[in-house]
Amino acid sequence: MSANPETACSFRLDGRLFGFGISMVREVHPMAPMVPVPAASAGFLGLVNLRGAIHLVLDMRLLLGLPEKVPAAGDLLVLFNASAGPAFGVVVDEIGGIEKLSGPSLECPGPLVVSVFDTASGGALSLVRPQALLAAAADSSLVRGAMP
Amino acid sequence: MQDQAALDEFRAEARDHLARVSEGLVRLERLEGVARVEEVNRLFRSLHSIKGGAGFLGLKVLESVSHGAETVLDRVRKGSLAVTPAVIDILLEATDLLGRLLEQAESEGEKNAAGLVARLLDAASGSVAPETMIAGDPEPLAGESDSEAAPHPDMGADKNRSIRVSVEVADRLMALASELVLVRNQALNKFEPRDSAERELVSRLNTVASDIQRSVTSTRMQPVASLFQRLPRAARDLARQLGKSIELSVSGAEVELDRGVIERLADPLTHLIRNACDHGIEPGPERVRAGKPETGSIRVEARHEGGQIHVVVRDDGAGIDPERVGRLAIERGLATRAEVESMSPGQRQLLVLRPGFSTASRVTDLSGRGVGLDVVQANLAAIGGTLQLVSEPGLGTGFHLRLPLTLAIIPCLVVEAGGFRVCAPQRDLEELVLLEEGVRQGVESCHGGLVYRLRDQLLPVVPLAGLLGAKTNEPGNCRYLAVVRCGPGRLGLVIDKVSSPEEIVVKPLHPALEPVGLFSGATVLGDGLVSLILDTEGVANKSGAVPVPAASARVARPAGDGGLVLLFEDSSGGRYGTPLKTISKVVRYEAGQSRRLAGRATLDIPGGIRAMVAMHELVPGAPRGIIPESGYLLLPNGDGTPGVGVAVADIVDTARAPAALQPAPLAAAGVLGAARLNGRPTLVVDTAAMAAAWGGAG
Repeated sequence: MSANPETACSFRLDGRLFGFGISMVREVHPMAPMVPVPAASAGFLGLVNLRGAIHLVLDMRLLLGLPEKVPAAGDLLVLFNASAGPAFGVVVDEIGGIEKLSGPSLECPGPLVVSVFDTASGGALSLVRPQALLAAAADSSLVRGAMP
Repeated sequence: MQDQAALDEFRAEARDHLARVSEGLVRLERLEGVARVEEVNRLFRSLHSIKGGAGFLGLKVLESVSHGAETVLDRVRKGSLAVTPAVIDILLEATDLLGRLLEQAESEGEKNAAGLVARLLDAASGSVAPETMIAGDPEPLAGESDSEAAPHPDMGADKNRSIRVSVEVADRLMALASELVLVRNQALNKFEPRDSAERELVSRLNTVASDIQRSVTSTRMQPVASLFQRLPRAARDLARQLGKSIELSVSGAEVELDRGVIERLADPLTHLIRNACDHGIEPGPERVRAGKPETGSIRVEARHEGGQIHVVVRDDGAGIDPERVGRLAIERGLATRAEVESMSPGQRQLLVLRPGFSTASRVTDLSGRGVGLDVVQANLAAIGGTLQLVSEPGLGTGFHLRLPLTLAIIPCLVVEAGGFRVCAPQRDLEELVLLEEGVRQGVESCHGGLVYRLRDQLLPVVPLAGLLGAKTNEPGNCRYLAVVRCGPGRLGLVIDKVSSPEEIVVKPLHPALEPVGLFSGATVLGDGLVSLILDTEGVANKSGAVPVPAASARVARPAGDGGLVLLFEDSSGGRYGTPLKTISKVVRYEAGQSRRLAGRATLDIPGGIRAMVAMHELVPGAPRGIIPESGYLLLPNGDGTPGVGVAVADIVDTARAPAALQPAPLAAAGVLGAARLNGRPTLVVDTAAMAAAWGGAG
């Protein structure tokens, strides 16, 4: 397992606190008009055009097993650096901030969540690997509505 | 001006080559074995490219220095000259001089060059005097620094005429320019047209956005003409040096290519032309003996095809003799005897593409060192292209270059199916059929698949909505059948809606979506939303439908083939038919549209005023009718009857007439016969002949 990043960009999804390694995140963008991807896995939420560049948006709620929600105007798009994969991003409910990841952590066996940290602000932060999200989203056996 | 542009381009390319050469030379001393051979080959190709370009542009000094350096490397490659520091030194000195020569006028470099060329040739013959090598000659070097410090005023200005920008930056600019145009479009919808201050602002935004898009696009795309136009001249010069008569013609110069690709195509194309002039085209007398015209011809052609750019260089020369090529390859140690013997003639011809191959018995300064064709291949591979060779001994050789479309703007039709919006490239689209209520029954189920009878052909049909994964597919929504080409065959796609045609910029498909297999790329449409581009072959594969070749699925009709006739009725209800080929057009007219002119009803339609004639006027004895208030005007085919149209009350259908008509119950000009069509006795008439007879009589 590679070393955990020192700092994370935290965000909220369904009221829970998650984070991406700060070096993975390229930008956070207001929700943009998105079109669904025809004939593709349910893990792909849609395609957006951001300043002329096309990005693939993943359905992170589905991937993490959270209740489904249609993206709304107030949601935010988190876009990743090329080091995480080619032009893709996810929808989050709300951006937290920059969290220093010190303190004790709990290693997670799951493929998407690397480990869970205790944050200074209180509450557990699950650190998610964007690369793993992209790989998991391509799984064609994903079905919307299967999760409770 | 063109020469200046060519010169600038050459300088930029040559600088790149020189940077690689000096880097490679330094590395060469440390390399051993295969790695060293490969490096020498690379260096050789770079110097050869510089020599080629310089030769084309008539830069004699540059050409002679690079030729000298190439000669030294050739000896190294053949193993007859060891790589000593002295050899590297003199080659580096040559590289430096070439760099300076690039920036100065030819005349200034000449005096320095002559001495170095002589020393290079000495070095090549193995007589390198160590003291010459290590110390160099300080005097000329000092002189050169002077000329560098005070460059020719014109040349100084030229140096900055072009800059190199990375493709990523250019792509980003393209994307941003398109985005600016989208923002402009949205602003145009919002603004208040009565506010004059705002109007002026929006109009400026409009112009600026369009200009930016045009300029930015031109930084990437360029007609291949910029490359092609220097080829005929180059071939002529080469031919004169060789004492041959050669004509080079180009076609497809308007095809637009990525500038980066054009730049990197220059070397391969140059080499292919040289190769064709030097090795391909035979000397005049030999051609005459072979029964060919004395003047050899080289044709260079560019075209778009199947999402690629094809460039073909074809000569009508001697072709490649597979036996001779095989023998030479063995002699030169490029292939073993066993290898060559197991090869087909075509494979033997391909041996000319191996590094170090040369069939020329003499070394010329044009080509003949055995570099060239492998440079072509290496350069093409670097831009993702391929090289194919077709050679007929005695008839000529064709080199077929295929280049990827790195950036393309293609016309597409935006279609909707099951709520998804996708782009169908126009080049794949054959026709659109409107599925009206009555016609929709034409889509039939057949062995688990759907077929549609399009005219006389059974066409496999794929409901696009289902393939795209639409949840609900209301059959009532399907309005159109798009007939698309898939390779050699075609099939029909059921779609819901046809939106506007758009010129789209093709962007690569996201790698994660490639496994879907239905799309070849993505684009941003005029409203700023993303849309995927349909890959019709992928659609066929995915749906399991087997496209039918355009000709094979003809359905035998029971009725004999007398051609299609248009069935119509006149105002008295008389049923007539006229072969489709006898009419040019059917125009619908409404009540009040016709005008009386000189006692006759006329209709003013595009193409002129037509006199309206009723059927009974044309067919004596036919029941008397009137010219209907509203109805259809049949315009006869043929030039003889420009002013006449046949006014009929209703168009009924089309039907296929039997091969032999029954005799008509009445005889008149243009009456062909009678037949039972669509269940009713019908008089079949030749509208064109009838109208001509009426025109003649009236």
